[in-house]
Amino acid sequence: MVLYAIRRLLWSIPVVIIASILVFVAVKSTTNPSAQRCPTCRAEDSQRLAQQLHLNESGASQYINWFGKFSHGDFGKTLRQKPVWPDLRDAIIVTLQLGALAYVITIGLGLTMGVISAIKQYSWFDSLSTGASFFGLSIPPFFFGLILQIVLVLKFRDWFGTTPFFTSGVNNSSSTGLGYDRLIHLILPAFTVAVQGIAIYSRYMRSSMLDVLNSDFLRTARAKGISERRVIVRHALRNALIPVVTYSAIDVGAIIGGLVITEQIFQIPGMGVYFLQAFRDGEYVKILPWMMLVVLSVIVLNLIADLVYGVLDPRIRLD
Amino acid sequence: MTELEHEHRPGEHAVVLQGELPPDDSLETPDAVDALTTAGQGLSTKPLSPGRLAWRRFRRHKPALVSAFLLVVISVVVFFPQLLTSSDPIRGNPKAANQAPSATHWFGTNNLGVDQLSRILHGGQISLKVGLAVALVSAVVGVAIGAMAGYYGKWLDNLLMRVTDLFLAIPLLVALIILSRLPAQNKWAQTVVGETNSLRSIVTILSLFFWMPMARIVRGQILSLKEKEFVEAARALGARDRRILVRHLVPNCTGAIVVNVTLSVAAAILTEAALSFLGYGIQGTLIPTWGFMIADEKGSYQTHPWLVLFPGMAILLVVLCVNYLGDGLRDALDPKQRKV
Repeated sequence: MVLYAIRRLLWSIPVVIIASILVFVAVKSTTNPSAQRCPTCRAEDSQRLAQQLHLNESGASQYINWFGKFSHGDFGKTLRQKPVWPDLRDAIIVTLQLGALAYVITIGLGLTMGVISAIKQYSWFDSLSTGASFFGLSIPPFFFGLILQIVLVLKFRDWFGTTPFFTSGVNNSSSTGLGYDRLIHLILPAFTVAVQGIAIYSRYMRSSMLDVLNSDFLRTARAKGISERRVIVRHALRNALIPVVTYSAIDVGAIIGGLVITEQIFQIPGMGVYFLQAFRDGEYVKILPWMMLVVLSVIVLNLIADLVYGVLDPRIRLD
Repeated sequence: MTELEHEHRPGEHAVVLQGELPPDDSLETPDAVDALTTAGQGLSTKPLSPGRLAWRRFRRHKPALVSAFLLVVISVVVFFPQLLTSSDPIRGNPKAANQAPSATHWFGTNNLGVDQLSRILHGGQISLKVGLAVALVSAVVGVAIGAMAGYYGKWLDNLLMRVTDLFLAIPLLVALIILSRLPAQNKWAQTVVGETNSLRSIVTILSLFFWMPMARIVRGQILSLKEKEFVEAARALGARDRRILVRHLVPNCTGAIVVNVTLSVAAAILTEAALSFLGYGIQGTLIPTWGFMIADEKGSYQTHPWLVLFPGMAILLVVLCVNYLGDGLRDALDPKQRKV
């Protein structure tokens, strides 16, 4: 398995390079740094800008220049001469906190709902969770976030606070801490990100669990006299998780999309807002490392999903 | 696509279900008895055509039936808004601005005094068009790619499926946001996909990212279908690859294709709304799309919540109905396929 992981990682090198070319072409052809909102720009400023961004060189040499620097960890400077990395780092930390919380909620609620629905098939809980998941799949995430804001923040403002993301006086200087204040601010957004995932995972888990519950080896396990609890947890759940894990790898893109929208609604200074801002400003120097980080995380998460798959199902030989 | 599987159907899976039959609604229904007698004795009843069987399965799915009816009603009032309201969707009465829902303005009015119901109905035309267009275009692409990969196999299959995986791994929303600006910066892109934020360009870039589930499903079906005897018979009669694909294999995937098209209508409507919400969707139309309406009014939801609630409810209702319809169609047309 270690060998498999290493081989996969080696394989991802050409993938990253190809992806970086695609990213570079896509971002370069959709942003225009010289069309900046820069009313005070003088001729020498634009010249300096062109020099800094190597705009006068060919596309290929621009790419090589950028990728060389990027792979050494040099993310460059923005058009306003600020280094890219510190801001990006702060945004990443916020997004990781939000994403992790959302993921915990998604997996926790989604899988639990699915398992209970399957065990108690056709019960009131089953129909309720089926209805709820159709609802969760069909509601636009941004609309759900707005409703949460309207209902919860306006009615129960004492619980979640109407203060901006960085409550003044409480860790507003750095964005690294994950204290009580931060957690309170993250609950609603995390739930907004999670809604669609909960719906999908509960449906998926339910059908996968039903398949397993009707299988022969489960009857054998029961016939051996194993307690029902053990049958469900050790035999059924483990096997039912396999297809769900495969699905979770494909899902990374959807989670990133959900984060972008949710951060925009709740005005959370994470990667989503960072991207939207940078794209609106045509700051492709900021977007390129952002995109590459997304590409890398997609690759790594896919690899992790494959490895987990192997752990859950020893029949699958990873080599 | 998402997975929306429904319960085991009585009659079809009766043996598998064993002790877990639903309490009362199953074997006693006339349909199930029909099905059992047809299957068991095959003497007393006339055999049913596949179409009739599908219709029977569909009819049993009550939410899908209701959704189909609602969708017809919604389409009629959206494309013929005069039936419900005679208010002007563009010019309003400034004296009647920001009114809460009332008998004259069911959904209230916006800050220019334009009737919200009229706006939502007219704006819905774009949302529905986008959903249908994206689903159809991406279905054509997906079926073509899936069919070729499944039928020809070997390196072509490998190549096409790797491309499919690649597209599935791309974060959809980010890619759409970036690509939506492409026509603004590139002359050639503008001639290919049309003006930035136009209906045509948004449909094109959305379709770029909606064909993958279809390709996978069609490929899977064709992989098993191409080994069947009727394909061999067709080949023995001298049919070429193209004819076998177009006349024999693809028509046999109709069930799966229809189900998938339906589900991608829902996904396309949702995605376009999200794009519009972020400011990268369809713009420049006289009446904004539903997603754009929400984005436009989201600052005033505390004082005028109806301006946000009703467009959102419109999206929710349409997408919910389409999803239920897809679920019912899956039960009816494609009972074997329970996971997407």
